[in-house]
Amino acid sequence: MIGAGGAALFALAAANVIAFMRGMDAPWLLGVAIISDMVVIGAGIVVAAREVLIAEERTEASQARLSAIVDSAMDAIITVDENQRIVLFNRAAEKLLQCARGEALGTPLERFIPERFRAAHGGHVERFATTGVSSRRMGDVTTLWALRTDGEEVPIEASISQVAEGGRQLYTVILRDISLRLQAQKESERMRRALDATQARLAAIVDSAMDAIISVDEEQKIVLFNRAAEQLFRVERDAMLGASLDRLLPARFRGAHRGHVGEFGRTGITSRRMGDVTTLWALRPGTEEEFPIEASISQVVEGGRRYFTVILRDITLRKQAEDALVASQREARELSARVLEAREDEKARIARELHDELGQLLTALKMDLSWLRERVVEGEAAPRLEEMGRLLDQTVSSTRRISADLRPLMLDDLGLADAASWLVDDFGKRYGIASRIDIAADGGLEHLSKNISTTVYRAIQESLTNIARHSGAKNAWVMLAADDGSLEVEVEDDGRGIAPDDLAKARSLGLKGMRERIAFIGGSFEVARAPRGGTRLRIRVPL
Amino acid sequence: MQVFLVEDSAPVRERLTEMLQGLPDTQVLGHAAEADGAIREILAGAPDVVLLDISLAAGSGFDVLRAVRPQAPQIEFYLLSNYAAFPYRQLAETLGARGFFDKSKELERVREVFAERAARPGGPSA
Repeated sequence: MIGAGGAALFALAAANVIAFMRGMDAPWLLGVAIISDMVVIGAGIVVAAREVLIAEERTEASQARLSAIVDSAMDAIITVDENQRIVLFNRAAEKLLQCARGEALGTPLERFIPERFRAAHGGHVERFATTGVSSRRMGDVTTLWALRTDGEEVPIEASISQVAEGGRQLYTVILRDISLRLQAQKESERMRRALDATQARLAAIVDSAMDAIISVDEEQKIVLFNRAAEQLFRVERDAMLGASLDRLLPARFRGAHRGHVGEFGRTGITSRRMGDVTTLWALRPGTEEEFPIEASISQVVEGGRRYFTVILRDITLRKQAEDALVASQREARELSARVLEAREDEKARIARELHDELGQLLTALKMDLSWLRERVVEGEAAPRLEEMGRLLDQTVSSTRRISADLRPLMLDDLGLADAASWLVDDFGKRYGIASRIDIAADGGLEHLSKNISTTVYRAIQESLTNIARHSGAKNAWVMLAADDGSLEVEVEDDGRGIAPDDLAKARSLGLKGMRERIAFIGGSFEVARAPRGGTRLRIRVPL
Repeated sequence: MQVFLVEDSAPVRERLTEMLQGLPDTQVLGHAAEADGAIREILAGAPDVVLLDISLAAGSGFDVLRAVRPQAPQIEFYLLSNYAAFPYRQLAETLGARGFFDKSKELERVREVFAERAARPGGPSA
């Protein structure tokens, strides 16, 4: 029979175990729980044993119950007498020390102590006996080791208790194998070291990065400022840590910047490029010196606080190169436009001279021929004069065609609407492609600048040429419309349709030239497949 | 029939004059090579008919039409030009020309039409 004291102590032990299982977060707490647990269990067993011993041999039943309890304990329990001979050896002890109970009982405890500890152990036990303390933890600081029968040593945790009973001094040791715990401790230490090393490495990387790296907290206070940032902003890290990021921004951007960062924080996106389109500017603190930068921002929440990290790079040189490139591109475009314009002027001059000078002379010749033919109606000269008339007519036609191909003089004489109509009409006749033009202008086409009308006319001409060469179309449609602010042109066909690749090919130099010329007068240009098949070209030019 | 000639090419002008003088009852009143001079002389001389080129040494036949027609609607204009594409013909008609001849291909028609016009005493307004 186990007394009320024993039961209470067991309950306390159980409560300790539960508490330990609930809160695994602190290793030292675990240690305390285990030790107090073992002490309590140990005390419980001692009390129980005493109560049982009081009723010694009174009943066989109580004896059996005690050994059942001891046997079912998770920890190894070994009781020795004053001669250190084993009198109790439970099942957990059998397992821990790899020794059957029958083999252990009556043998000295020493056999389970590694040889190097044996002398010290004897002394410890004697001192413990003289203190009269009923229980304490063994090996307060160092790890204790037990020796198994197979010669292997096991790290253990142990407590000892003593009780004097009927003139006999009994010592009970409760042992637990802590090899797994030791291993876990070692592992966690290794991980901590690895983490420390990673952090150190990371810090070194951040500091050696070519780009400036700056972290701020939610209040825009700087918490990290690497070496590249020091060099870029020409300021010491210590002067910037804790300072507001505003000091690195030109005043005119500060308000907007806060808004952007706040918005970025709300999106929850981890990182993105800053200032997607416009150039960002940074300020050297304490100066008026600004420089263009490229930057990306990332955010992370640590311990409930949000941190933003900006990685930035000075792009002064690149920006200069870009600006120079843009300027030279603009110059090249202007030059090419001027060259084109000069070519147009030259062509117009030659066309006009061909048409007028040569045309007048041919007219005079025709009149003379006609005079001659009236007077020479017979003889062999007559058919020759007839033949001359035909040749003259061919010469007139050729001259007009060459002139028109060089420059449609109609464009200068009558304007875009007439010239385009004539062009589309002539195209249809020349290539056998049914071609129509719709003009919805209401006078909007009458006072176009020469540059615009030439560009638009040439674009229509180029498109029609492409249709004749590549499309295999049966029909072509041209639409010309003008309103207050803009001129719109569409050229569409029902041919096989332009492939996207064709637009990039060198063959479409004509398309590229068209795009260039239209861009130069501020217009937009778009080539795509038409909804009903074929190709559709759309041009919009501001007036 | 009094004809005024607006033509900037001397060889053509000479041949046209010769051709017109050969028509019965027809006199060439004068000629001009530029739009401004043509307008002035036409309004001053009041011919029955003007034979007008489009491309002139300065200005164009259309300028002459635009200036003279509102002031002297009785004068008949016939255009004779190497700019004979449809849009030019259409514009000439819009501006009130009575006829249009391709200068290289319809010269025979000029003589026919003018001979017919000269034979009609007094012209359409009479």
